[in-house]
Amino acid sequence: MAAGLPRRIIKETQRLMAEPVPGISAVPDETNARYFHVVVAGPEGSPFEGGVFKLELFLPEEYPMSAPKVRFMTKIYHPNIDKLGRICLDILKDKWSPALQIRTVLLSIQALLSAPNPDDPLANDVAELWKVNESEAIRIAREWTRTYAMGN
Amino acid sequence: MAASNEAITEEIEALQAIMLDEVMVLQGDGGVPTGVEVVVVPATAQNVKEQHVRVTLVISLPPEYPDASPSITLRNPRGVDDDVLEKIHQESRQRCEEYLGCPVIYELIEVVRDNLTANNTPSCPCAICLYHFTDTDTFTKTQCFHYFHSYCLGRYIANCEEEAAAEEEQPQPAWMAREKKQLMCPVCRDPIQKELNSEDLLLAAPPEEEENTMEFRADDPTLVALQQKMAQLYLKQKEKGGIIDLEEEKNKFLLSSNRVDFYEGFGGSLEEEASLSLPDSPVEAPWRTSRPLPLPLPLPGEAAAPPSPDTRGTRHREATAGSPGGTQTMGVMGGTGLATEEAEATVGAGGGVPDGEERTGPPGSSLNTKSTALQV
Repeated sequence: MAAGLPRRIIKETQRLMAEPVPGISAVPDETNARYFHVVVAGPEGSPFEGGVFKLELFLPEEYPMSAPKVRFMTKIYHPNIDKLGRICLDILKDKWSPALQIRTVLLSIQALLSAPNPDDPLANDVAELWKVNESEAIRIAREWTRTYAMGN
Repeated sequence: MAASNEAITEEIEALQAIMLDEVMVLQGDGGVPTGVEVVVVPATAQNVKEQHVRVTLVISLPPEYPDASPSITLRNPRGVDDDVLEKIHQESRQRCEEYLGCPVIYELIEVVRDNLTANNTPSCPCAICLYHFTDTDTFTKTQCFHYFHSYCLGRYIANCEEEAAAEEEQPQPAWMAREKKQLMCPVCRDPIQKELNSEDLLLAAPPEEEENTMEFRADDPTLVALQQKMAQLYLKQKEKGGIIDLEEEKNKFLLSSNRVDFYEGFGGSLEEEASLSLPDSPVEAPWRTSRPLPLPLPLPGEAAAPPSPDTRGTRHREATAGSPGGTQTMGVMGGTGLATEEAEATVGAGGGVPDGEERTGPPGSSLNTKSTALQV
């Protein structure tokens, strides 16, 4: 399975298994070692607390020279994540550096859940509400978390 | 107390006399010295080029010093790994005990310097390949004291150059054009030396340790258990309508004139995405299917090689899936959708195998399209 898989990916995978990041789980697919099934727990104190969010992550051929592609699969109400689960995060675009890793990317995504940034929105309607009526936006985010992102 | 202050001042003055301006004195209220900060490098007879590691040593002096031990902090270690730092900490504590009641600052600096001199090879892993430096590896130090295998850094610089070239080829509206990029250190984003160039760096051999890693075991029981747990979670959330339905969302989008290319990595344009979620395609548990995946097509130039279950084959596999009549197979697993980009390329090329150019093309182009889509 791992034939031709860059050593760096193997090494990252081993470390993800051996020393998992708290609140984050990333598991390679059984048929494609470049495709990871990811679960990120909603950070404490955020409207996403208590939720477990499923994401998919793919390491393109050029990785680590180009960024992994990551997307939320679980519905989430967040100004920087759109309806399709796409994430607005600079390190996934022009701020990518090969010194970043799967674990640092997922940590950044976890941090984004703790610190939504409605001034740099991807989901415009969400961002708008987040700006004009933050408490209502947070209420909806909580509700979505309860409705869609429960682990059991 | 006053006597102690005087002793400290005297010790620091002596230190400054020896080390000149390498020592920065930290002062508390009223100009009382509370500590010193020194950037320590290995002893290399002043040959800066031979100094491959460094660390900032901060010594905080309690008011009772020298009758109480100072505390030390090691900041901004470069090329020094945790084991060495721990060793320095241990030896420093020991030295402090031995010198209780006497000046110890210079001794502490010596402890750090001796350790750096003994470990004057970057003992951290290369941030690009994540492997350590062996004695025979060629490595490069940036001016910000970060280390990379020369080969790895060469690949990085070559990639940056390719991206920049691709950007130039695709003229963008002025408001989108980015400033010409100065090459940045992959770790700290400080500018890196202009004299570093990919041609020279790529002459170095690839990192040696890369050759001796354990193989990754796909059938590891822990891994399989985790995969099953993930699959269960997916199904559970899917049942409750918690999983984003790309097909449905696509229909909500009325931006048909704006292709949202951002998504290409996961399945090309939204139109492509739709084809992934055909009603009868087994999308429920994309990765839990017993259906065999199409074999990868041979790459151009290695046509004679037997198809192998190479994981890199995903993309080639996609090419197969994308060939006429094969679209539905793409619903087979989640991972498959990820490379529809390839399928698109295939269709564009008349259903043939994408040429090498397409396959290994600079990633810059896709990144560009992504940022475009973001503006939509």
